[in-house]
Amino acid sequence: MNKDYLFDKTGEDAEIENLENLLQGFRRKNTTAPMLPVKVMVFPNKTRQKTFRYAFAIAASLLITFMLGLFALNIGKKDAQNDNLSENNAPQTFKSIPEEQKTVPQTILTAPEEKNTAPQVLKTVLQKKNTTLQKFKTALQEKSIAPEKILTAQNVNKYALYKQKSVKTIPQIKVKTLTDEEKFAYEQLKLALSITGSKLKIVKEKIYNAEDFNSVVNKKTVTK
Amino acid sequence: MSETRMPDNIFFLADRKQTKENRFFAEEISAEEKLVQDICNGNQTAFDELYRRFSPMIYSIILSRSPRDEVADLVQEVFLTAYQNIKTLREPKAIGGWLAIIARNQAAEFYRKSKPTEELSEDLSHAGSRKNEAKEVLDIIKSLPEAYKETLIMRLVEGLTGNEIAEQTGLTPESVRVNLHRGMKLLREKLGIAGK
Repeated sequence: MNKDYLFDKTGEDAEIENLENLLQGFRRKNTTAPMLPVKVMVFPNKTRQKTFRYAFAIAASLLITFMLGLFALNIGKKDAQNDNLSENNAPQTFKSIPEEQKTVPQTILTAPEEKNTAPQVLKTVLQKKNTTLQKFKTALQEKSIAPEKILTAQNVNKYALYKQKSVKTIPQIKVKTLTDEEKFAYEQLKLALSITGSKLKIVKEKIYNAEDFNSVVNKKTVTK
Repeated sequence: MSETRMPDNIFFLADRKQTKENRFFAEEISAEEKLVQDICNGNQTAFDELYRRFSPMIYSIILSRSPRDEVADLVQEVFLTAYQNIKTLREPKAIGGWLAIIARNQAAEFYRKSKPTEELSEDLSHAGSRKNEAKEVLDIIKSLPEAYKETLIMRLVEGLTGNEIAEQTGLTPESVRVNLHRGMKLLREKLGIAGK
């Protein structure tokens, strides 16, 4: 039997026993445990905090995405409304322009020669515009249109610019160059159409003649 | 020829695992976890039980690292610190090792805070007496490596067996045995005793 006094106190070992007796004086005296405080701190569960954090993060991200979606939808709606408004209310805005602003600024036309540094070309263009405006005014007056509805040269220009912006350009369809076969087919089709057209013409003439003849015959019978 | 016995149930591994788990949970709930739960609820008797079970180990650890006069106070501080932080203990089974760490930290903190002092002999007039001899032996044990001095003090001063030391510190009995024998060998060399 293997005895190990040092490990499990089985058997005998005088040397270790002597050391035990020698060091016995340092042994712990029987003391009581410290008294606990009356109130016990209850700490929140960490796992709950974690789950709450995750849930909060998910909810926040969902809310943010929802808000962004709403924002994007609003922008889309506003764009559509703006398009509609610009198409429907464009003339109204021109109508509501005050009377003073509806005249061409005379300062440009009546500027003294020495101060007028604009090139001669600009002058002639403005004069032309003024004449066209006068013509337009007279034409409108002849058609008994209310004076407030008359558009000035500036406003006409603005309106033209607005129209240019607002009117959507129709995409031009590119015509494909025809191949030889297609050209031949096209010619054949034209020929066939011309033949059928001529035939139809003959038929039409015959029908009209017949109608005329019948009418004559009927008239004769009536007179008889 | 050795007979190989086939298991009746092909899922014997799963069954074995399940029973092992059940046993593990049963033990955990019955002993350390209940003790920790009771302490968390402010049960004084549970705390007394903890003190009774682990104070020899804590005392030995602190004695191996700090002056003898301070040991009693430091032991009390260790248990109070343990009580304050018991909620941070994740594994109730490892409470022994956890307390040992607190004790080591407490001893280190004591040395960090206090000014260096020279410990005087309790009885200078009785030079060469048995008490002084004991103190000398204790000082020699304290000079040994950490793993050896703690286990030797637990064994020689507190009188714990190897299995009790293993149970309280969380070490395996084999490693405790090794530590004891190696520590004893070093102690013999330092004391000038011819060992076996």
